[in-house]
Amino acid sequence: MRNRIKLLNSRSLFTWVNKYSLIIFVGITFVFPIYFICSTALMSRDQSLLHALLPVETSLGNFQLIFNNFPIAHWIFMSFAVSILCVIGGVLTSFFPAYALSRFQWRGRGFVLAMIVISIMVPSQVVLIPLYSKFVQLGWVPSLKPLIVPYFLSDALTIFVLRQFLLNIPENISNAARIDGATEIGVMFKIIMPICAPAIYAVSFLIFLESWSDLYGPLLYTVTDENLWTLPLGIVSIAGLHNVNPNLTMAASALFMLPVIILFFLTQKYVISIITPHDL
Amino acid sequence: MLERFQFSNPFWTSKKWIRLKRFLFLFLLLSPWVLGWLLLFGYPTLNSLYISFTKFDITTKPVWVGFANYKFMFTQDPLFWIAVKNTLWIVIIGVPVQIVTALLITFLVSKSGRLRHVLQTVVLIPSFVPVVAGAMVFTYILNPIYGPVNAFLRLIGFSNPPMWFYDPQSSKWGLVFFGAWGVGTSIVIYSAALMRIPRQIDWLAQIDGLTEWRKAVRITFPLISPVIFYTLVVETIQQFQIFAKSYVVTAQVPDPENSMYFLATDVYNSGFKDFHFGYAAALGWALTILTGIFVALIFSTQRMWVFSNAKQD
Amino acid sequence: MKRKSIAVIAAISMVVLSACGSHSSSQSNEKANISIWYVWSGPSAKFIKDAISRFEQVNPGIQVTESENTTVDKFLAAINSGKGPDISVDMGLDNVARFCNSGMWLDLRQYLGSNDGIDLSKVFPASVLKGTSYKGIPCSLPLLTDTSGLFYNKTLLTNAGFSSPPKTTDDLITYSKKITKFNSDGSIRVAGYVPWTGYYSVYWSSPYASYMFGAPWYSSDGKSMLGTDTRWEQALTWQKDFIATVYGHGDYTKGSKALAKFVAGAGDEWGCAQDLQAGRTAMILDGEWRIGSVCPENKATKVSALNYGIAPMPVAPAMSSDYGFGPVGGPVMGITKSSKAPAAAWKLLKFLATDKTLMESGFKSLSQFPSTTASLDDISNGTSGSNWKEMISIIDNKNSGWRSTSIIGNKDQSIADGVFSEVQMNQLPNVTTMGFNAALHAELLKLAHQIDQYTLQDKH
Repeated sequence: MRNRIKLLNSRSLFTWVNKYSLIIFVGITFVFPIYFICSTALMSRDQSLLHALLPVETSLGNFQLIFNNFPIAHWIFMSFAVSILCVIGGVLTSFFPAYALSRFQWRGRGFVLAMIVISIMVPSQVVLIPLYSKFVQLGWVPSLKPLIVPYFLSDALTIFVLRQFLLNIPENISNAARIDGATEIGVMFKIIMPICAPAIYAVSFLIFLESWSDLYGPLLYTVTDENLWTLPLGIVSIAGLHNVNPNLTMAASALFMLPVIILFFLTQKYVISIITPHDL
Repeated sequence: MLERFQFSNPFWTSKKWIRLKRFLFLFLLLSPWVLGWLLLFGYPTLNSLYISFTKFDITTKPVWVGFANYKFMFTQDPLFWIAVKNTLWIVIIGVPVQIVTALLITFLVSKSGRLRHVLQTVVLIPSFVPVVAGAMVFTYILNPIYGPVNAFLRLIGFSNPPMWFYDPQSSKWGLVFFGAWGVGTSIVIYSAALMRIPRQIDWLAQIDGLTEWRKAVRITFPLISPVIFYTLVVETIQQFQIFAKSYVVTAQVPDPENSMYFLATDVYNSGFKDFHFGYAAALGWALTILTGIFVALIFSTQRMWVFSNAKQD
Repeated sequence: MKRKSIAVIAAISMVVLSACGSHSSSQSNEKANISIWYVWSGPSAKFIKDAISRFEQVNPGIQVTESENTTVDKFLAAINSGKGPDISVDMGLDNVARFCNSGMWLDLRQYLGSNDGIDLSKVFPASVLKGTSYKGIPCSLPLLTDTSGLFYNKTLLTNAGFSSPPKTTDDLITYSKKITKFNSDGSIRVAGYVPWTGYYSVYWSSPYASYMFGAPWYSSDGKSMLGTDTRWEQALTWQKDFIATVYGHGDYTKGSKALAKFVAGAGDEWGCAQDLQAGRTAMILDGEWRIGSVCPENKATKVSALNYGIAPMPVAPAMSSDYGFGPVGGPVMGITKSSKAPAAAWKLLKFLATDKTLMESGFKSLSQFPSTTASLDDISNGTSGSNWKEMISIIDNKNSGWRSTSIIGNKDQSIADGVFSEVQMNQLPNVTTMGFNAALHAELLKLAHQIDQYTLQDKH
């Protein structure tokens, strides 16, 4: 009731209109590129090269085309397989270091944190070639191992995010459990981990996104074995040298975005309630 | 009595066994990270430092050349300084734009009532778009002639809007907007931080008669400053490494004057086009050190504006 | 003419394919596993995939593993550990000097002169061969080739009163002045010829300045001639005068701005909105693949028929006696240093370089010219249109070939293109203080010095 009266006031009506037009403006700016991708995905080749905005005839024909001419189902499967493994590895091996870095005070904790920051700071190009040579020596090229195994050796950003969340879980909960006779391991698995479920969902999504979108990794380590290709590589293959079929490339890109969007909606609650870093 | 069971206090009176147990436990917890850091970071980084002092084209063994690479880099390589200039520009301009955009949209989202969830999803989705598709889209959107952005600018009165990627003077601004488009994840983080601010503060501010703006600056901002600090550091680091965006854009719109040539581009070209991997490693280290200087600078300002009552590290 | 040898996606990548090559002697028909890496992918790769299958049938002992979608910057670390491909295909000639010089591609003379060899001059046209060797050492063979010429809209030319295509660079200005039409707001509606670096992929740029004006890249001792040979300045001054006269009604700044806008609004290069097809530009330089890309009339998508002709590229008046030549060069392949079965690799190399069916299917599917004299003659004597024949005559011209490259690959072009861009955008440094000519000269000297620096860096 009070709101209604507020609205009648011309000044607040002005702000209301302003606010919602701003929202619409922002919404459009962010959505437009997505719309562009989807509409191009439905266009004919000729039309897509004209950079048209509205498809003259929408057809799902492009999707049929790419499924027929390229092993897209296989690429999608490979992407899923790799990403899911990365999530499992990343979450498992990042949770424990995060736990150690947050639930206990010990000398050297700051040092380890500094080392983590440094490892994020150094650009990947610096480590690229020695790392690549190492993988070659191990015989892991071409294979999926270089894409998956690193996640099983923990992921720095995931550690950070989980750590922040864990820092905010009160000590009392752990202590109560300890008093009740739980072992440290028990506390970790049975008490704290379940509380962490939202954060774990959130980082799972982020790791999935990172692995799913990874182009350079597969390009480096699997390009010579087509059976190992993931979707981003496949999209490059569809685009070819000159991207003469933007409609097909966009169709594949749309397919690429779809699982992520679906996954996001499923885990939305948790992603949005992601922990906030109070300080590094 | 309870204190005897609290692990977080230094446990001086414990038996050595318990201390050892605790050490082992922590070590075990950390072991994946330790292993990962050594194998995937420590060793390759040192190796690359060594390579930076050699001439190495990958087909033969590295040949030690001392500081020759660095000397060439600083005194004889014109592209290096162009890359440094461009990289510094895009960090100093791009990162604040991204953060401010994210903050502004976060506030908008927080005030959008029922549309909140929708809007938040909408701004997050661009981060799911692959770089190639995104670059194609932005090359179209920012096309000076038939792109919607300039059409809109002309509509509201700018008769001569910038040529974006088609003009070396404005091309990096195009990249800045491309980057600002992907701030969805930051918005999520900021929104969550906002949600943690107790409602009472809103009430108190209203009672005290603070306007929206003052409330935002005096109260909200300091309260979420730790989060902003975090994203500032992370985004600065990432922006220093900018490469893919400019690479894909310049594949469609040539950039003969190297306005979008960044340090990471230089590393890539020196290595994979010129096959000077020793030089590329040296460039990589120059980039690392530059990043480090900036990060250190940001950290040094931490006390000045980051409000924190959590445990300091 | 030069297809971009960089994949659209950033390829920070190197890949290894374990080529488990066996120790084969050069003559016997024993088993070998060899690998070949090339850039084509998907349907574009069919022509080479088929050829490789046929090769395997004829050579039962040799098994070939292929990898598509691999640009040349991927096989390097592989070579380091000896696990690279036996044959790699590069999309252009820019790396030949570098690969020959560093030994990345083997010296082919031992194979060319053997029993299983080929007489290069009999199999390939001279223009195609130019650029496949470095300092007399052949280290690569061509695999299809390209050439470029002037594509012109006959209708637009005739309407402006021209019955034949332009032959000199002065002609280009004269023609363009008459053909170019402006809108009421001063923007360009139809352009004659667009001297703009970056307009499309085959276009006015430093290599074309060197072709059309005869400007040399290097002196005999390997130093860049950018600042010392006046033909570079001629080319750039021509560009400036062109822009000023044709597009600015005498005003250089106006012309530059108008042309910049025009170029930004260009239609996509691949498709029916391309400027020549759409009648937006009357004359462009382009490669032979354009012949296969011309769109037929289509009322639904508003595509009108294109009445066009092809002629050799115009040249500076001082070179008009040489008129009729053009750049020639395309994909090339070589046997890599890391090959463990070079003899078997040579068999495949020879097969691919000379196989008639491959040449025919490559021509049909990719609209790229075969690289063998025999297949080119087939097209000339066959029923293909006169447009193809016109371009083949460019290949046959004695002055055709690729520009001289250096061991720094196409870095010299990247550097030189900078000044072309500065001139067309009217962003040449120090113009106000020094005047155009002096500023241009200073800039060219500076860039020549840069090229020399990089060449020095590369000297082993």
